Amino acid sequence: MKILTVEDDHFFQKFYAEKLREQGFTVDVASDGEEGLQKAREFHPDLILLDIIMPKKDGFDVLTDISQDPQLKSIPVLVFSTLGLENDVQKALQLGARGFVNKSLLDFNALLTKIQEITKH
Amino acid sequence: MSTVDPAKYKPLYLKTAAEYLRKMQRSLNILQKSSSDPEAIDDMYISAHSIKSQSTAMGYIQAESLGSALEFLFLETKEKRIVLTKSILTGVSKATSQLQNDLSAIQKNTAEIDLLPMVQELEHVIDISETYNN
Repeated sequence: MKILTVEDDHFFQKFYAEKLREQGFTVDVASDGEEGLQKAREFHPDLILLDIIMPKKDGFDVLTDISQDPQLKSIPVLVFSTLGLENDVQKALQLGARGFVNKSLLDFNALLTKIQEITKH
Repeated sequence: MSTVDPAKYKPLYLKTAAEYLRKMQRSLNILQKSSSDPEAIDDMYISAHSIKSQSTAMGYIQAESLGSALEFLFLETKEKRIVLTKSILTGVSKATSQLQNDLSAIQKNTAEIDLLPMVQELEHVIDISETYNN
C-alpha cells in the first residue's frame, strides 16, 4: 500500500516515514501543502496522511483542493491532530477528511488501526 | 503491534528542535526590525507549534509548555488580536534563550529547567496586549 505523508515538521516526517516503512508500506513524503498536491498526482497514493498547520498551503486548503480534483478526490485522507487544536479536526472532517490521529502521542498502533479501517472500505 | 521507544528518537528530537529554534531566532531578528512582517510571524507560529508538538511526543513537558505559549502568542498575532511590541519581542527573545537552555539540559540527560515563570511572563504580556487592543 502506498501512503503519502504531507507534513512539514521534520521530526514527525522522519518518525512516521520510518515506522510506516518498517511495516511494509511504500511511503512518499511532502513538506508542505503545495508539494503534497503535486506528489499526490504523481505518486497515486492509497492514503494521504495530512498535517493541518503547514507553510505555503495548510491542510484545510489541501483538503478543499483534493475534494475538487477528480483525480484526487477518491483518495482517503487522515489528518494529524495535536492537543489543543480539536476545532481544527472538526473543520478537517467537514472538508472531507475520513479520520484523524493525534500525532503527538506517538501511538503508532492507533495509526495502523485507523489506516486499516479507512482503507478497507 | 509496533511499540515506540521515545528514547530512540531523542537525537532526532534534539536535531529538529534545534533547527526550529534557529529558525525562530532568524525570524525574531526580522521582527525586531519590522514587527508586522507576515512571513516572519508565520514562521514563528509554525516553529513554535512544531517545538510544542515534538516536545509533547517526547514527554518534555517544560518545552511543550513554553512552545505552546509561543504558539498561542503568534497565532493571536497572525489573527491580528495582538500587536508585537518591543516588550513582547524582548519576552520572546528571552523565551527562545530559555528553550535553548532546556534543550541543552535534555541533551545532557539532566532534568528540564523550570520554564513555568517564563510561560507566566509571556501570558502576562499577552493579556496586557489583548486588553489594550480590544
